[in-house]
Amino acid sequence: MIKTRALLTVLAFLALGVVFNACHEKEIENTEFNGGSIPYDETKTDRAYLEETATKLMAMFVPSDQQYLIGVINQFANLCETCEFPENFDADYTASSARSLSDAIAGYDAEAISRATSNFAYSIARFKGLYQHNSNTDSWQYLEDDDNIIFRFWNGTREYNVSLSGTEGSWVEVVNTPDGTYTVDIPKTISLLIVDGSMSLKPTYIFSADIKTDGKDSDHLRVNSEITAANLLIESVYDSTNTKAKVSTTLSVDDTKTLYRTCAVATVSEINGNGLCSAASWVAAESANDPDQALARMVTSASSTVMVIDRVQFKTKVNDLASLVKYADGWWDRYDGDPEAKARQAASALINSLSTDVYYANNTSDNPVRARLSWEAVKADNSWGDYNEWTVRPLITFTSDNTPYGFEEYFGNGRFISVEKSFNSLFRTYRSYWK
Amino acid sequence: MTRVNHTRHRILAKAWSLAMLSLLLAAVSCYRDTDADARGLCIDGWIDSDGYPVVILTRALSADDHDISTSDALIRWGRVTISDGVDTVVLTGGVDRSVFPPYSYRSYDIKGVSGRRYTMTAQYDGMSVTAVADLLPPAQIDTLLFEPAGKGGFVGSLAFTTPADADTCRFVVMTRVVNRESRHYPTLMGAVTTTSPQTQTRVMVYPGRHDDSLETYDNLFHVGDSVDVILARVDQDVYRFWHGYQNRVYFGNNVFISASDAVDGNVRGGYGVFSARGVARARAIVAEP
Repeated sequence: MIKTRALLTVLAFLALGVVFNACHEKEIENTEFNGGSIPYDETKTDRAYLEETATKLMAMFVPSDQQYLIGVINQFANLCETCEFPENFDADYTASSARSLSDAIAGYDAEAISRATSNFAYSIARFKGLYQHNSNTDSWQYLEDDDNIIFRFWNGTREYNVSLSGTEGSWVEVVNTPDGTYTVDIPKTISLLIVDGSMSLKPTYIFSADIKTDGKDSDHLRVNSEITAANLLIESVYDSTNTKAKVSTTLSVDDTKTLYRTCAVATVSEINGNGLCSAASWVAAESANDPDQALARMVTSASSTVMVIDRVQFKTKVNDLASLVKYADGWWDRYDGDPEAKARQAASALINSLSTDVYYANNTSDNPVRARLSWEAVKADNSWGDYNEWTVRPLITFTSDNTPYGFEEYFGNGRFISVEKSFNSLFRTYRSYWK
Repeated sequence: MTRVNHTRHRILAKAWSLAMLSLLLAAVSCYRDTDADARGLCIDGWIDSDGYPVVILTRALSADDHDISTSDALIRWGRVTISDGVDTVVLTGGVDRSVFPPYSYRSYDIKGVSGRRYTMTAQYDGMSVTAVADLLPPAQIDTLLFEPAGKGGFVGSLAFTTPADADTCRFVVMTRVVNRESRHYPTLMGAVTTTSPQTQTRVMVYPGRHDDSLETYDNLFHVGDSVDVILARVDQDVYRFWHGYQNRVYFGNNVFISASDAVDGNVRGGYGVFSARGVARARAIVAEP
């Protein structure tokens, strides 16, 4: 599997800390887009416009929309944690996977849902069959053979089936790692389905991978996943050839009243270069005398676009990949040496190697840059203890007056008081569901 | 003291909250205006010797605003600059859980240096305030001891040698119990003036007061407290503010001390204070004698 630190670094930086990962360009029926119109009202200050955007974003996530689903999954996770499994079963693994899955769905965490489901899927071959919860003995009992792994339980009035199915995919060789050479099984498909009586209950998770890494020009890596959790839909596509790797993701929300689907956050990240699908190329670059330069030769350009409810767009370009990778390596070792110097170095490397412009429309060619993102070394909050810890945080600087503001919590907890209220309320409401 | 909505603020009062709120209220207790945006700006800011500047910018609250949320007073989109006569930097506004309201303006591109004069400006929505403060050389702390003071509590005793560069020096003593408080609070009777250079002086150190409620204020330290003490040398204008502030917060309910006037700070065009502090620090853990 192509999974080098450098690739991850580039992708991570392209995502730029935006809460939700990258965007799907597929047209979605009923999706509400503004069709490229300019929603920005010039009479408002740009700060007010951003504040309004953040508030609109938060308003899209209504906890009660997922309440029922969370209740069911939470019950399933509880049963996995407290009930006995058949002897041959890896009970701890299953219980922790179920809990991770339920937490991931509650947290809108697409990546975590994917990870948790994949973990489950790896056990399909070993544990496939239908397991029924027996409330008298408080245990999961093997009921019958099945090609899938199915857990069946009652919540008093209804029967639920949590079903996981998968097909065996490619064995991909990972060479020259510190652990030697080994192979990883990437399933071709995974699907997770929760059935409430005879009705399919969202969430569903559908994963499919098409991987070919023979060291030829036709090598490719394509992974699609689609997660539905109640009224949330997270679609992502990873599509890589030797010369281009592209990740796109959309997070959409269906309004439960109007049934309109709105894309909350959409991102597309792209890397151009050569040998991108070849594990051998990555390994060679990493083991070169100057790995940063080797990687910079391999990846010629990288960029990303993040669109927030069709109102605000962040366009990022990587100007200097070698510095970026070097920064990342240095930063991981930041606890050695002078933390302040390392943080300042890191901030300036980021400023030099990445540039992000902010637009208030999805059509960037006719619209001015309203703000830019940059980076600043900051002393970590040491007010509760005694640490000389430094970190780097992203800033947004408005072009109108060059005033910088912290960006890390921009569309999240705390950036705007109104948003903070929404988030806190969201969090508390969710918490109450779990209790 | 002005009455505030206790229920709401107790929820929020993780740190400095009510002390700061009472400061805001005290600062404008004579100021009556119903237009929220016209009340002016309030500054709670400082730059320490060898430290980075911090400014908390809020709208000043009126004494009439019993129901106003402190979050409504917070200003997130202000522009704050600091100049040391050589460099001028624009501070970055950002969420900051260590202060209240949880938002501050900071810069890591300028550090406090003794002997320099700092000018802070803050602008928001057509309003503008300025404060000037001199960063004076710090005193030297000699000892910090904690002595039993009854009821199982302890009081600190801080001995320091006054600086040689001036006859009259002004100090504010502030404390913070590490891991329990997020910032330093001025201690009871902690605004001190000395008149003899190069002389040892002793002051009592009490926990800083967090809110304006007499019932909940514990004026003693306890075994296990790790107490961080700041002896901040300040200029005359800054001292005048902290002296007025201590009278307000500690004696606001005392009939012999008037609480009806506003605390006079160094912020021109607004309220509050921007302190330049020549800082000496000491840390001790309170232990059984």
